[in-house]
Amino acid sequence: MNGWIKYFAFGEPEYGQDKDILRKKASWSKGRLENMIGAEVYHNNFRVIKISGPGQYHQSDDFEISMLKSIPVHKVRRLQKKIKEQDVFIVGDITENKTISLFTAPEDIIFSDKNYSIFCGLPKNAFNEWLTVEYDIKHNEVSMFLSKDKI
Amino acid sequence: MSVTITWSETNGGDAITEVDHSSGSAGATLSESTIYIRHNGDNQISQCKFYLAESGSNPTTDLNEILSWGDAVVSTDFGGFQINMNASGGFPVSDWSTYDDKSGTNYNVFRTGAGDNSTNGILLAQAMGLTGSPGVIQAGDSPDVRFKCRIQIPSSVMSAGDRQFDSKLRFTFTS
Repeated sequence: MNGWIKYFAFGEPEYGQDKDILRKKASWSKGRLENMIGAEVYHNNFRVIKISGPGQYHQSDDFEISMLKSIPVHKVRRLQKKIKEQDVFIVGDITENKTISLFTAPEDIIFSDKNYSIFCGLPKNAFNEWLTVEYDIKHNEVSMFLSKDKI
Repeated sequence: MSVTITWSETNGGDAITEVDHSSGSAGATLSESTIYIRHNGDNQISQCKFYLAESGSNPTTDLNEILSWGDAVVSTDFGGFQINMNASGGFPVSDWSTYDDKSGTNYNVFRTGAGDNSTNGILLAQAMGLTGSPGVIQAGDSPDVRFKCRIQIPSSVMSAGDRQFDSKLRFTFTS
């Protein structure tokens, strides 16, 4: 599996594999977006990002191409979730289980321990911003930050 | 989950794979090239930015030299790879970089902090024919998105020979 999976409160998951997207047989934006409760992103058949929790999600990818070439190089896979007041965060281990939810904290705290787990607290004024999780394909690294908008 | 990009000399035309900026002496401004861009995605591509990268047999040396031409702090050292993105305005002369005026809304010269890597990419200007926001290329077979580029050789350049570099486009896509 290379691509994304959407999960819903009601109904079956929706799949967006790279090969189907390339053939225009799958589309994040044209598919179902209501009542989402989670989403996952896969690369090289490994799950690289998972976010859980009801809300609004967005998925995008970054590519790079040399001028006058036609086939871009895939650089980043990205998943975003709009932060709601009731979101609760759980520590995510990016080497195995990238399950991430959200929680609000009086201070914003970000650190990474030797096992490459990421703990992220969010300021209270983060409501309605987008939690953004990016997987850097070349470096096999995950980063997380807040964004005002969908990317 | 990609789109393919097509570079052409005309709107919706056949793909081109080479642009020869030709050659010249110190102080020369080489001929301009007009390049059209389109993609095959059903949705727009966004966050589109240009930047330079290494290429050729002396990649680091050549790239550093090209960037240094744009960095120049004296006029005789100024030159470099320049871009005019004012297609809707007919690519006016005023939208080409000069030593005294290196960048603006619709023009730039690649240099340190401006197109020297993907983080500092130069955002595509709306005047390139973008129907939405800067950096956003609409879908379509003939979107009429284009720019001009050229190379200016500083008058102070002393060493002859080829210079090679790679020009890249970075973008974001949602299926």
